[in-house]
Amino acid sequence: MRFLTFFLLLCFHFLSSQNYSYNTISEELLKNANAVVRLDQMSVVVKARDLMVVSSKRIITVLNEKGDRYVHAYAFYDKSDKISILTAKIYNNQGEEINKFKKKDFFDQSAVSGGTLYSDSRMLFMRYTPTEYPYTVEFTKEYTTPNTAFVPSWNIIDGYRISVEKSSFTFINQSGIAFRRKESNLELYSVEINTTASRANYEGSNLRALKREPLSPSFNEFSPTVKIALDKFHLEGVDGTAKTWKEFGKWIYDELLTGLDVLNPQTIEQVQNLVKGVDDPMEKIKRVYNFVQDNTRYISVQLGIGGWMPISASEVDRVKYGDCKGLTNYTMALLKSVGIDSYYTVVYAGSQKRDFDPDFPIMQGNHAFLNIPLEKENDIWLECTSQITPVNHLGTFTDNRNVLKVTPSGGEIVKTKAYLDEENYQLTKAEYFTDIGGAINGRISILSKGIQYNQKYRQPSKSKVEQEEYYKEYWGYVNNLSLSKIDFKNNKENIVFEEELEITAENYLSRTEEKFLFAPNISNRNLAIPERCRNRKRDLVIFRGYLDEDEFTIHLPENFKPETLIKPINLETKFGDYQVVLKEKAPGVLQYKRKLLIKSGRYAKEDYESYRNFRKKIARYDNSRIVLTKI
Amino acid sequence: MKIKLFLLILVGVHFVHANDFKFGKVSKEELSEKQHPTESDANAAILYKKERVFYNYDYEQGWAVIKEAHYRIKIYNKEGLDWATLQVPLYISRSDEEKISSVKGFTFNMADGKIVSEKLKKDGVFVEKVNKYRNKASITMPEVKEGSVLDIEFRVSSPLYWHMDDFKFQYAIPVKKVDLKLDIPEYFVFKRHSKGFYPIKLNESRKSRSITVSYRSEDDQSGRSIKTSRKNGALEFYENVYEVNANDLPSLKEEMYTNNIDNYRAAIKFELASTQFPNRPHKNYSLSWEGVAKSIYEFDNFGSELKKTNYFEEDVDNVIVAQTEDMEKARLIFEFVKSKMTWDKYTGVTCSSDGIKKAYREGSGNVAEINLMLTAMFRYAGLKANPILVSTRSNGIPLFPTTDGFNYVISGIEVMNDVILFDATEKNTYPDVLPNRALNWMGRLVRKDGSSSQVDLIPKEPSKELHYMNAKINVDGSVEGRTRTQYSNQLALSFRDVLDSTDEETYLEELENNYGEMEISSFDIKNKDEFSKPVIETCEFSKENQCEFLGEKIYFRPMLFLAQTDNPFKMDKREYPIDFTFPRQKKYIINLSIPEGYQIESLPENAIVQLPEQAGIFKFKIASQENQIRVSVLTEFKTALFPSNYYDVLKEYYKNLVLKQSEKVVLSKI
Repeated sequence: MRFLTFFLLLCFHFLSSQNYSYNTISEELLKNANAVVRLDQMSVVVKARDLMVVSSKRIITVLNEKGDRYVHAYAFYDKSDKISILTAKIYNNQGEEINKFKKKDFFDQSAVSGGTLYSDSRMLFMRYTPTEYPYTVEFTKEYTTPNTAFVPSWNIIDGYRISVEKSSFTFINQSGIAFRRKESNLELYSVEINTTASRANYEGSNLRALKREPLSPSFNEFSPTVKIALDKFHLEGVDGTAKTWKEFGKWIYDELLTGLDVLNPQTIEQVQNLVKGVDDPMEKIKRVYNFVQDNTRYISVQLGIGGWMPISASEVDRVKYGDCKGLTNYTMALLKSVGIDSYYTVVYAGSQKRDFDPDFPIMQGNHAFLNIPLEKENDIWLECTSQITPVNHLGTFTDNRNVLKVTPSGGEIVKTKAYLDEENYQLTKAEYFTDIGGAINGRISILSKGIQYNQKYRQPSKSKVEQEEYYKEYWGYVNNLSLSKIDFKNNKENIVFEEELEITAENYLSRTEEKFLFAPNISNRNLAIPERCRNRKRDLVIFRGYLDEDEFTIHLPENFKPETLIKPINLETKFGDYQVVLKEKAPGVLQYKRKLLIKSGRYAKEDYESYRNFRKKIARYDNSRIVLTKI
Repeated sequence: MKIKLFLLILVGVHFVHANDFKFGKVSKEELSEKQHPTESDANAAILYKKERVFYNYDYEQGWAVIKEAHYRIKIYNKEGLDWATLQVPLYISRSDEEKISSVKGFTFNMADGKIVSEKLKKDGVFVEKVNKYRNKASITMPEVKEGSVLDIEFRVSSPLYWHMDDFKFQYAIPVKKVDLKLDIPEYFVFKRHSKGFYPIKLNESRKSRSITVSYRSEDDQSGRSIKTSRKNGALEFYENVYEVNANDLPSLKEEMYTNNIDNYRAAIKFELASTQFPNRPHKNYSLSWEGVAKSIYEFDNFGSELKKTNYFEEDVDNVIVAQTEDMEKARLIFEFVKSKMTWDKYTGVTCSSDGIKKAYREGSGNVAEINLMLTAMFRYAGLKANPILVSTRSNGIPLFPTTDGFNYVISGIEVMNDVILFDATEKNTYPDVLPNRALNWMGRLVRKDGSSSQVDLIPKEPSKELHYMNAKINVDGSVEGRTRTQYSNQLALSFRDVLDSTDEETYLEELENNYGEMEISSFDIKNKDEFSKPVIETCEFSKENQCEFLGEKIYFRPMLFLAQTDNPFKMDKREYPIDFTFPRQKKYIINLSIPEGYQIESLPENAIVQLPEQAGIFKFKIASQENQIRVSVLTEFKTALFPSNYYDVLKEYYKNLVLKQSEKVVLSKI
């Protein structure tokens, strides 16, 4: 083993003294790449429970502008971190050094911007303007931190369109503390692994650039990574111990949450009055949640144990604002005072779903919200940072994923609610009148549930102009559209959103000589077709399905009748169903009925083309027109 | 008597008025208001904004500007909660920095018919270092909910006595009342400029002021003693007082093609024009466009940098060796600077502290370094070249002469009665083809002697797009053929930029997807780097589903996928001018052959739509001969900027254009 390390070191030495001219990159690594990582070498040494040294060298050849973002010549830090080495050298495409940055040349600024009021996190970054492509950056960094709760993970590939000549990761544990490793997808990329009781070593080479494909699995799912966690760790002055999620949750509860749920007696009385005489726990939850929504607001302040500790409930009660942790903890305290147990829950929030790994406990997540196990198998979820989200509406932000529920007796990985295809429902009903000048006017009502509710329930708070813009975009295929009425009803109780609209559009019917051409699908066309993929490599994934139903009654211009009608259409595929029926209900009155079901799921890569064909057909049928002739 | 009474009433009125917005005293009416009286969709409103600016003098520290502000904000609904946080930028200038103090705040709510208040505590105020040029103070208010009224007060003291941010009167939410008052000692002469669509009246008056200054003095007149003692003295001077009192300013809303919305915001800018301290010479900063230009020219990191030549002489000699023709020399130097230098994306009218030589050595620099270097080389080669000061589109239109009104420099060569414009910050620019960011109103050309003149930056000649298409319509509704597309001037610049930023495969994929399901079998670009010529793209394509089949007939748009199907102007009303950035012209020449066994049953009619004053035109011509259809279409805007009263006309123009382009050719079976 010793020998091997020695050999590896030698090997690195040799590498770093070679030149980084562009010409030495192999053809296969240049293909589809915006940047080529020549060498990425990181070593993590845990010297004690609260002392970790991370050194890295990254040499990257950037081929074009889009590759600039992968240079990563920056260092994040906060008060307890010490950056001991920070240098960068720039080489031109022949591998000659053209510029050099020392630590003092790096630009210091706040690591977060915009929405955040305050954060201790700062960053040093290299301000360099590439004068030519390709160019190469050699970036060396070493820092010491007490926060062993976060052992850096190894992501061999940073993203799409970046290839890797050589990347290595060495983890050396001198602390004697037991550690765990989680390796994902290493076998797909022939990564070499060498481990002993106190160290782990990984090395990958010649990884080609991957191309992004539409509707494909998330990048994490197939990219090679290594995660490491210590069973005993440290975070900003606090020690922790955890081998299992149970222990991990227990630690969070004991160290970061306990004692923060104290409320003053007046507030407790106020909340208890709110639910006086109410027995139904669901009703209690609603009233307390409403109270939170009406009285608090979200702001982002990252303070306390590196931003992981909530502001106390009494603080939030006083100022009536907080971040996700503070507001979640506050709601939890309020619920407790009316006899309802609820649990602080940590999650990776975002529309791109990301799971906590049940097998690998580690400090992670970017958001907190609240779990209430009301009945068996029926959890209620509360998003405490929003003033308008209904009770138990997760939306795309936190739906269908593994999260960490923190209870006094320990942590637990649970799955949040998934929205089934039919639950994401939209019903559009409309009646239209057309006139001899080709104009159309109509009344439309749209009802939405599930994820489709999620996409719309913020509409009422937008300005009139934005609301109008939204419909003009949604019905972008209807020219000269004007809206004379826009009304909303947000039924938070049943989580149903209703839109009531009145529209007119001049020249919707186009005239050719004595005839009219006219598309009967006026108010719900699904025209988007997934992009073509030459040579698809990954599975087709439809993350969320939906069901649309439409019913339009159309009064034809006076003295006109349909010359042709659309033949009934019925497509049934594994991706979903599509049906259209157009009938002449009475003379001069047409009835158009449509149903579109898209099924979420994972399909083989070969299915991608047939899914596209399905969507192409839908787009074509949705656009199809009929001819009206004079009676 | 009469006069006295009148005065008394005025004072009385004034008193009542001032009382309206006394800090910490809000009314039930303010709290119970459910929505804004004139803008019902406003999420919040500024009920009152007061700013007071004055100067303090300290013998050790010198002059400082003190700015006191009071905001009263009404929150109507939950979307308005963002307005419960106020952010105040605090600038840093070398060792001096602005400081915030005396932050006070109350949140008022109604509870059981009574007004209750909650005080802002220290933990609601955050000051953070953003970077070495700027700190940021955030003030976030407690107990804010729907209906709350917030009172926030703070004070900023600034050693940067020459600098004042714009005083804004218009925001994304409506403003009910603004009071601004500045007391400026006679020593500082500020230029005042108001801008925006809502006229703002600035009242000016004068008053005297006396301040006691404590200073150290060396006692002994003979100079033998080195003892110093403290002394007090009075400083008498007068102050200029500027006041703005405005009411009911509507919210500012973003629209398409508006250039920079800030151009239309009601605001007043104060810019230091000169200083005149006792016993010191009068120091002029700016007064007129000429003055502005001259003072920028006199900056060390402008004019002096422009004079340096030794660092490039040898290189430039090699570049223009044996050339005698002026324009050819200019072109060679321009290409040389473009290829040697890369823009670091920083704007500004001056070179960085590292200087122009270092920029030249490293091959990267800011806009002033690159274009001053270019100008210096032009001059060295004997050309009549001068720098031109510009305000970029994102910096707004410089309606008034101020030094920070300019943030960009280009270069111009004077020939006959014209000036040819150069900007070497981008690789694909060409003489008289500037990046869009520089196409903003007027620039100011500054000559060696400091004199200057205006230069129109908007191109007069339209940028052209020319589409040829030869295509065959197949009996299954698909189309195959060839297109040849030519871009000139500004359009060529952006097309070349697109080509540079992507590889061919990705570009083709995007192109295919843009037109929806097109297959491109062969593809070629001509003149990619021949900047003097239009860039030309040719494609062989095939595309399905270009026709509709209704009964026995085939319907299709004669412009096929090149037809414009969307009116860019969708809103009913418009307040701001429409800015297309530069004049443009599009031409289409399309030849189609129809499938065998079919005949043309009908064609759309020819049409012309003309804008008033010949500012633009749309021409649609179609004709057929046997199984061939020939379409020619022209759209043109001869000017880039249309006033807002043109909106209806432009919308109508596009409505007709879209309608005409969506009309169909009908084929029937023979």
